[in-house]
Amino acid sequence: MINFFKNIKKSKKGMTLIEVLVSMSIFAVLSVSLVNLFTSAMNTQAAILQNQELINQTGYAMEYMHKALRMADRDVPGTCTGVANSNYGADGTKTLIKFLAFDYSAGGYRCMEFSLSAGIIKVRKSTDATDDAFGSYIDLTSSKITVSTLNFAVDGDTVNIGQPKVTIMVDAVSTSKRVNPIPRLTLQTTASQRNLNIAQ
Amino acid sequence: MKKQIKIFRFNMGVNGERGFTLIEMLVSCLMISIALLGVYSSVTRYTQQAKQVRENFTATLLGQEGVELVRNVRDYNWVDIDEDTVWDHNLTNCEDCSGANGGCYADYLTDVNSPLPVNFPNYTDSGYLYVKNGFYGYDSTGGATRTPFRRQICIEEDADILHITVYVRWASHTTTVKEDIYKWLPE
Repeated sequence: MINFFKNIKKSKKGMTLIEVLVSMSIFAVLSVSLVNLFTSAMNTQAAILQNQELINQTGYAMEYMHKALRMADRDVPGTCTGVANSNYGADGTKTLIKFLAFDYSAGGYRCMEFSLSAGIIKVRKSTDATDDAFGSYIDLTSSKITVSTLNFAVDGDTVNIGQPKVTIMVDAVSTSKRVNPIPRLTLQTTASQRNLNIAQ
Repeated sequence: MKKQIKIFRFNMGVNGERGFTLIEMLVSCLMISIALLGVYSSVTRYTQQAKQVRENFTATLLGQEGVELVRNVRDYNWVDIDEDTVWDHNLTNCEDCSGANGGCYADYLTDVNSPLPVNFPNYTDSGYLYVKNGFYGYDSTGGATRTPFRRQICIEEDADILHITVYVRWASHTTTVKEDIYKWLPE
């Protein structure tokens, strides 16, 4: 290489036009493919990060709701669920669920509510066993993901006749539209209540 | 290498030193593009893997649901007003999971007061879960969207233990969820 430039200098002879054109086109082809490779790697990385965020957040919300719901207790007066002697406010499909959740710090049952608002899953806890003393909403997911659907299906919520179970369904996408296709998760699981549903 | 094809070479004009021949250039370009292609294909594979991670996560939760549905039947048997009901009632026909049609299947709408549907159609279209009315289930009529997931529930009984194994299959993958539930309540 050094000789090559030396020789050019010595012989006062430059490169021919065709040499320049060929080397330029090779350079162009290489740099275009390198830039393409780089941008696609960047997009892939963005997609993977969004994917990870989606899985982390929906996973956390799912686990949180599953644990709270399976540890629920029967609401005998119905001050939390709205239906006396029910665990989850009677059978059926709902988008908001109120139930008596075990509060570890208080060592007793407190009214809890899961709902969906503006693409974010929210939880409210009451200071007692009624739905009159709810505290403020706490987000279970962040604005980085958009939850489009939160469904609960309650079955078997009748004392001495059934053992309640709650099916939770969450449909969520990544909020950022940068990657295509936008990562989407449609999750479902069921929580069978751990306390046996027998009248005391 | 003495008899090279002199299609094109850098002409130094001194001492007969030679540059690259066209063939050499072409070969090196080819090698570089193969290398770039290799890197590119590995990058695109990550997108595939991201999708697979999502499906695997969905399958795990569906597997958990399978275990919970069985647990719900066990607890229902205890809660049931009919005093004669034994704890493994309706759960005893899900044993043979070896063949193409083994084990049971159930969704969130399955009646807990009748035996779990047996002969899971493992390798046919009817074994797929569908999303309908906002839930995964087996109802494939009007407005249901077919998902890639198929769920097989297998229960092996061992005295006072039910060994539950739930297989969730999609594409060429299988996620297995295992759980033991016990007869902890004396009958």
